[in-house]
Amino acid sequence: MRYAENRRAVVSSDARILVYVELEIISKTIVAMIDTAAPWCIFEPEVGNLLRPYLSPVQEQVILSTRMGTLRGGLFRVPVKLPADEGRPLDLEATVFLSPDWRGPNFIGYEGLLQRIRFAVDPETNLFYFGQI
Amino acid sequence: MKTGAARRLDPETGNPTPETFIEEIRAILNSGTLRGAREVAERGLALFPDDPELKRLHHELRPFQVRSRPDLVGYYLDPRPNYEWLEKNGDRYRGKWVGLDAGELVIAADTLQEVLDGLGDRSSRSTLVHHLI
Repeated sequence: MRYAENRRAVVSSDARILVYVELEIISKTIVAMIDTAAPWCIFEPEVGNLLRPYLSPVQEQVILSTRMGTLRGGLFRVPVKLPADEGRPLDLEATVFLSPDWRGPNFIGYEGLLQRIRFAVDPETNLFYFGQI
Repeated sequence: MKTGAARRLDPETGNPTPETFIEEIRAILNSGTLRGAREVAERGLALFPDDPELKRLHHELRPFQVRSRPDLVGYYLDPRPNYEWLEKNGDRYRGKWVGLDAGELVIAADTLQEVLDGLGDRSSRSTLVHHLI
């Protein structure tokens, strides 16, 4: 999958790895930032509000410590697709932290998704490689 | 170690109740991992096989499936046109939700729902929904 190293798509002075994630429930694709240091995936509250009616929580009242402070929210299993513009897309479930207080962009975390797949990044070509373990 | 906090409770000693196991699972999730949580639910269910919350947690903590989709090879279009649009126009639409299709703006709005409505039945093959925060 080609990723964006986009400085204008999110509020950030640094280059970030932004990839496509298709949300199966609404059949629409969003952009999320890869963050291997984040435990869970985190989606923006508006995205969460749209998904919540279709999901049952793994656990409500979970605490997540972030650089924006400590947040309370729920953990959910969210069916997603990693689209591939070359090769095979993947279907999987992400563990997503949804909190009405989150003010950042969408994140793809390590425990919540990345550790369930093989992945690699080629910064020279902006390619995000992924596949089944 | 983050998981250390999750082991402060020892459901095997004393007189454990379902809540003892549920609290340990909550502590594991609050430490930012799923590791060990299902095993705690299993140990709890061995003692309290009819407890609905332990049954629910055991189900929600089931292993994750990842499925390759060879049937979708070639389905998704190159995402670069949408990324390029964000790079060029992101600053002008700061604060808005945008719906893009193959590098063209379809709709910009204040809410995600308006953008989804604006995109209508356009397929996820070439569309992207993004919040320019």
